[in-house]
Amino acid sequence: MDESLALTIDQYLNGELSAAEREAFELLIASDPVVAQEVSLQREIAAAFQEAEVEDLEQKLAEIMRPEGKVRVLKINRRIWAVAASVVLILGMGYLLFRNRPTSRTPQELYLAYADLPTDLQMESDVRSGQTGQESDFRPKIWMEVDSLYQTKQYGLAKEKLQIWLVQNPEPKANQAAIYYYYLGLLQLQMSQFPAAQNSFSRVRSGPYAESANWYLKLAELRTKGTTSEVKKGFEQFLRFENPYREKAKAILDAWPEV
Amino acid sequence: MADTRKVNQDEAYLLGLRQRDSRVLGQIYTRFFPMLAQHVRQRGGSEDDAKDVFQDTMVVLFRKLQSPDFQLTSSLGTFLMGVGRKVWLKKVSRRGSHPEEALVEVELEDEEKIETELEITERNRLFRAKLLQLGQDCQKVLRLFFAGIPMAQIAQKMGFASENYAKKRKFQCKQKLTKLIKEDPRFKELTYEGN
Repeated sequence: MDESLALTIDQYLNGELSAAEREAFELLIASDPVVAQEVSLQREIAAAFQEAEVEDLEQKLAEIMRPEGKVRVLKINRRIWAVAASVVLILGMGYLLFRNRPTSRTPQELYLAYADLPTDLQMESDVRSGQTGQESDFRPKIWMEVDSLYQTKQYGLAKEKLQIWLVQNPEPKANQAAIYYYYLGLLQLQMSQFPAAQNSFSRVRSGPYAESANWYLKLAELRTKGTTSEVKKGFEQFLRFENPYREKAKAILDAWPEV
Repeated sequence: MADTRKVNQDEAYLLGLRQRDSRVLGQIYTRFFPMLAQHVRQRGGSEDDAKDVFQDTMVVLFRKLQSPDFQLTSSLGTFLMGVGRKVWLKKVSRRGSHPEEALVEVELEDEEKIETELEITERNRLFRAKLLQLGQDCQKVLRLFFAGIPMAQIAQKMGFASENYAKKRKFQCKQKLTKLIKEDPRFKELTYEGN
């Protein structure tokens, strides 16, 4: 395409043509499919840069899926990287590149990728009641309200409501105390209050919530202590027996950064 | 009861996706990616291919969520797998290999719109990727221009001598970008696909 046509298209799209010029150009667009296609391409290019939300989403997904890199660009770029990697391999550093695991995940990234917090507290409890044969209606009614607030992401309000219950019931039964601290811990995790969440989960030592509380405790520790060997050992515990977190623990450990 | 819970959870995921909440995006990835990755791997794809498919699928769903009349008529998992399979088949057919399943066998509600969303997703990403191959100056000028910043302000921000020079520079940069786009083999695939 010649430069003067490109310039006219540019001026047309920017509204820089006079009425007569615009009319004449529109006639050209209608009669010449090549020109029409070019105008359409320029419009599409402009549109690609006017979707900040999609760009933001892609960036976030890339950070979750490929924390070591940036947004996926193009296959061709990957090929370039592959060539670069081969050169490095020849230099004897293939070992570093070919480990089938990301090497630079931060504690925050690991947490983000694997902290699958429940979206519904009621469901959490029902599942456990079913497992243990406990009646689910021993939960105070106020907790249902806590659950509604939790589901609508009003974590601060939910936490206040939950704490009011404890003030009114200073000596809860052991099973109720376990659920209380478990719920409180989840709310604190949702609000990124990691040290507080750690404290809450560590108070759930037995009963049907203990295993989950221990899992979330380890996740909270990942944020408060980082990828230390102590925290790593905490996740390794989950590999030693059948439990719902075993696969997740394996995935986290696979992605654990090298010392 | 179980179905109601699933619906509630799906709704929470969709809300998180709509809000581009990183935590929820991480949860969706943890929950659904293994299923999609298995599908892709069983059909000869790599882990990277699976991640590409997952990303495109999520963006397609995000675009659909922008439409006020969009309603998920299946579970989120079913929808993601349906779109994901479609995305993967398209990629495979572009590579020239014969997919094990014919494209028509993947039936999705609103099929045509999903195809369109997918094409826009891939095309826009290609265009943005090509911008990154331009010099920093050009990238900045075009970003400002596409964001609707008046040329006089662009001239000022970029330290150009005049508005006219800014216009000239913007035109040159757009020309370079257009050339890079047209030279990319993927552009032809995206443009003529399905014609």
